[in-house]
Amino acid sequence: MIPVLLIAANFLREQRWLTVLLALYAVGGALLFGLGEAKVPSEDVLFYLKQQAAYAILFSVFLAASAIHNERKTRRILAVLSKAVERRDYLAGLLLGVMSVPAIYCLAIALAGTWLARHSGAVKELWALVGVTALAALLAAAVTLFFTTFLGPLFATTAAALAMGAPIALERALGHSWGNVLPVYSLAVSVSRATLAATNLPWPAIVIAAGEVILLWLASAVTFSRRDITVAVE
Amino acid sequence: MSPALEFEQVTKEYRSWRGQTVGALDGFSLTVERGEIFGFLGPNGAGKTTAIHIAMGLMRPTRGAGRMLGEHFGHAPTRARVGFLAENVALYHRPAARLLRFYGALNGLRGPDLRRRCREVLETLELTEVAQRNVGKFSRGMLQRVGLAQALVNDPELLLLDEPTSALDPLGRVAVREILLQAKSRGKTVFLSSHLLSEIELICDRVAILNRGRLVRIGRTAELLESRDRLEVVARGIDPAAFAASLSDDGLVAFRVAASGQREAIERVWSLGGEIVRVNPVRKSLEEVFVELTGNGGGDGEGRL
Repeated sequence: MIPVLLIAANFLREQRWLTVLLALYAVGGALLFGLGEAKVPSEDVLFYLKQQAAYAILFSVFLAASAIHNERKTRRILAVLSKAVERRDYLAGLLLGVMSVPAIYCLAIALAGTWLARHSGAVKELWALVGVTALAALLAAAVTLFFTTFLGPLFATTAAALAMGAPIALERALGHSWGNVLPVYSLAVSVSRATLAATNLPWPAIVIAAGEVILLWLASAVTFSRRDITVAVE
Repeated sequence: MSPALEFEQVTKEYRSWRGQTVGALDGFSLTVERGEIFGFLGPNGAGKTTAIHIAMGLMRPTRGAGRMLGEHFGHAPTRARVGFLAENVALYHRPAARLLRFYGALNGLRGPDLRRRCREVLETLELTEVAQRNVGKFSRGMLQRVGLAQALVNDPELLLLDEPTSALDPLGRVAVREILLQAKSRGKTVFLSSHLLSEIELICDRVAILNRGRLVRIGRTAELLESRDRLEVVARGIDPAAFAASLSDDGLVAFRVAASGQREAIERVWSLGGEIVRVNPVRKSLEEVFVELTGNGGGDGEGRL
C-alpha cells in the first residue's frame, strides 16, 4: 500500500500547480456568484455546481490520458518500475494520483458551494452531488487509464469517450437500465438534473461505478503487466 | 548459491503495428556469478539495454527466460535487492535528499534505516552539500550522481548500471570506480554496461561482448586482452636489425612474432649468440578486441575463452 500512496503523492506533487489553479478557479467562480449577494438563489448555486462538475470529469480524463505517456516520455518510469513496485501498484498509484486532482477540485467546489448555499440550507444535498461528481470523475479516469495501458493519449481519450458514450446509445435503444453499464454519463446526468430541494442519489449507478473502478484497475494491471516499457532513446 | 544473473536463450523481437519484426536479442545466454564486476560491451544497437531492461522486468522476452538473484525476471520483491541506473537518467524534479527518500521508500526502506542510507549515499557520492537543491537545476554530471545514489540507496546485492559514468568528469569517474570496487569488496555483484572501454578494462573481472543481439565473446578480462596468435619476444645480445620492427632499449631487443613462428625466432636468437629474456603473449587493448569483434564482418559466432 505504501508504494501506491508514494506514487499517488508524487503524481499530485507533479500536478500541484494545476491543482492549485483548479481550486482557485472553483473558489473564484463562487466569488463571482456570491460576492455582493445577500442570498444566492438555489438555481445559481446549482448552475455553479453543474458547470464545475463537467470540468472535474473532463480534467480527470485528460490527466489520466497523459499519465503513463508522460512518465514514459520523460523516462522517469524506469527508475520507479526498477524498484520493488508491482505494475498493479504503480497503476493504482497513478489512478489515485490522477483522482486526487479532481478530488481536491471537488472539495474546493463543495466548500465554495457551501459558502454560496449558506442561506439556502441545502448544504447536505450539495455535498452529495459533489460526491457523485467525484465518483463520475474517478470512473472516467479509470476508463481512460485502462485505454492508456495500450494506446497513446489521443487514441486513449477517443476510445474512452466512445466507451463512456456507448451507454447513452444503449440506453436509448434498449432501455433505461443500460445507461448504467458504464455509468459516467448516467452519474453526470443525475447531477445535471438534480435540484437542491430534493436530491435522489442514483444508488444503482453509484454501486456499479464503484465496482467498475476496481474491475478496470484490475484489467489495466493485467494489460499493463504484459506491456514492454519501451522508452525513447535520447 | 544461485548466480546473480542468468539469461537462458533470450530472444527479443520488436513488432511494429504493420507486423514488421526487428530483432534485438537472438538466443542470448549469459551467467553472471555473484561477487564479480562484469563488463557488458557492444556497439550501439547491439541489444545491451534491451537485455538489461528484460532483466529488470521492464520488458518481456519474446522467447527464453532468465533469473535475477535466483528469481525469474520481473519478480518485483527481488528488485528491492537490486540497484538499477538507466542510461540517460531521468528523475523527478525534487530536492535530491527527498528524491532519494522517495526511491528508497519504494524499495521498502522505512524510518531510521531510510534516513541513514540516504545520508550515507549522499556522502559517498559527495552530494551532501546540494542535498536540498532541486535536481531539476543540476548539471548532467550531478544528475548522474543522483541517479547512482538512487541505485545504491537500498544497499543492493546486485547493481545493474547502464553507462553510469558517461556524463561524469574524470574525478567523478574515479570516484564511481572506487564505489564499484568497494561494492565488490563487500561481496556485491556489479553488472556494468559502458562504452568507456578503458574503465571496463580497469575494474571488470569478466567481460562479455554483444553484437547484433548475439554474444560474440565472454571471458576474464585479462584473458580476453591476451592475443593467442602473437607473442612478444625480448632478447639481449643481438643486433636489433636482425628482426624486423624490433625495438631496442638498454641492450634489450623486443620484437613480435606469430605464435606459430615462436620456436624459429627463439632458435634464431640463440644462433645469433643472443639470450632470451622473456616471451609473453601480446596484450591488446580492450578497444582493439572490441573493434576486432564488432567491426564489419566481425564476431558473428559465439566464442568463449
